[in-house]
Amino acid sequence: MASTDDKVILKSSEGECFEVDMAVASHLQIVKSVLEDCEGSSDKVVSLFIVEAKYVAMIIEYYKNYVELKEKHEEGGFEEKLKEFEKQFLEQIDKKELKGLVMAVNYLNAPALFDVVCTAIAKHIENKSVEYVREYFGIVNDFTAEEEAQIREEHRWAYDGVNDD
Amino acid sequence: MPEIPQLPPEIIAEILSRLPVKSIMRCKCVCKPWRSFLSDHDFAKMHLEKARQSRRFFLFTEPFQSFDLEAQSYEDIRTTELNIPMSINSVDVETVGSCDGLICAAVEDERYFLVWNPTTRVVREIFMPNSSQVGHSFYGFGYDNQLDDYKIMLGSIANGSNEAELDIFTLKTNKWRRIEGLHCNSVLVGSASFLNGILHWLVVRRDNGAQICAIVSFDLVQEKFREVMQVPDQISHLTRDFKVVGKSLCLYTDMIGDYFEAWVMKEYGNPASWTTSVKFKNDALPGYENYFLLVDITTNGGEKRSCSSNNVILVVGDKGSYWIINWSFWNSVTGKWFGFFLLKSKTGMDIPFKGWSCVFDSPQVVLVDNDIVF
Repeated sequence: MASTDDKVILKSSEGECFEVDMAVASHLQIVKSVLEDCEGSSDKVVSLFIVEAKYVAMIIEYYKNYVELKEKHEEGGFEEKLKEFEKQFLEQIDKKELKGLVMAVNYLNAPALFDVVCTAIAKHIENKSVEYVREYFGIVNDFTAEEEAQIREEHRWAYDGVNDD
Repeated sequence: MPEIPQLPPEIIAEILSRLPVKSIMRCKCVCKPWRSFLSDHDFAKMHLEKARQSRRFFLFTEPFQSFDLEAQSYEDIRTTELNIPMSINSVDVETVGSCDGLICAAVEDERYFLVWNPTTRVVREIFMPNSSQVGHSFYGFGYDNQLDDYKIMLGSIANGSNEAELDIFTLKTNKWRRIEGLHCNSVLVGSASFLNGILHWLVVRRDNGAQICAIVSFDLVQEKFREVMQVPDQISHLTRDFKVVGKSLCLYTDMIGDYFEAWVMKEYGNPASWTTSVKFKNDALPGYENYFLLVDITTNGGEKRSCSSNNVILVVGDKGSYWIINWSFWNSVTGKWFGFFLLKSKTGMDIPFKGWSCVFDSPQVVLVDNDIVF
């Protein structure tokens, strides 16, 4: 049956299954290599052990649109359309979830989306205070008060225009 | 909901390398591992690869200033004041070169070079080696991709000799090294233009009244002079100066003839590839009768705009003052806009301009010095 041939099932850490077109799934390097390893096998299920279902859904949504836009705008304009979609795609994602998403994308080895999410996180923390950045990444401050004051003094100019929300 | 585990260092690195320099400087005080990581050469390289390259024009005014050369309109021109964490009392400062956002300048009377990253505001003074001669010296600054380091080259050729004496400084090792006995048949003066790991000087001579130009180049990686590139006759007799524009060598005329013209060497090293990049009637530019330097040619990617003269800036300078005028042209051949930047002498605003200027990439986090690491 041709219809199942170009489909693959991605299984999340909770065991939820997602049926995905091969054209979409092939953007995930890990899926590609798993399928290549078990070529000839009729079993087209790839378990993504550490990836939660919500992230699997986001990643599929991204690459589904990516593939569709690429097909539709073969003649040109793909990059602008993709940028538009990426903006809208990122708006729906909670800032804290971006961290989970970047881990998932990194695990699945999907370079285009990895770049998009890293850029989005960078954009988010760009004008944030040091305290916010620590909290966002769950980092414990290991400087003494004196050390921190000294470092701040070295680059005092870098602390203008910071917001904390 | 399960707590999201901490991101691994390699992902954090990917995120931080996409930040602007100001945020990176601030992130240095997040924690000790971040501070040491953000002060590392590898991180600087990673950032350099990802950073949006935009060219800025630096002016040695008081205070120092820079302009965005890719401003899309006159209103967009933002002047940024630059702090240099040292005082330069000398007026005898010359730009040696600029590479990856670093500016190298020579303070000749005090016999030192300075390497400065205007974005991170870090500066380093490098004293010239004792033995090198002042006066007929030539110098250059650039990146050696084999060593992964920046080099300053200071050279001199004794009168009546064709043997060059070179001193080369590498930033990481913090040492000068002497190279002797290299043959060079041309008299080289002043700073070189750096492109593709190679330093270039324009050499002009007269032969029966005709002007003949050639480009002498020095391979900064191999540390050898290369074969001299002759400039084709039809360009040679019109050439007044040259510089690197984008990724090409560019020769240009002065304003004395009817037309101003600039040529770029499309294919590096191929003398048949000199192509007209810009050509227009001189009187199209305000103050065209004055002496000027070409600062930059920018391309504004063929945006649809009405053909007007208020697109990009023209920087006009002099010993005592400078002007900013915006100017742009539509190139009907390439279908692209380009901005034109000139530096010339005419009195404008009352901001002293000491004659030291250059184009640099910004913003960059490239290290001038090994930062203090906890």
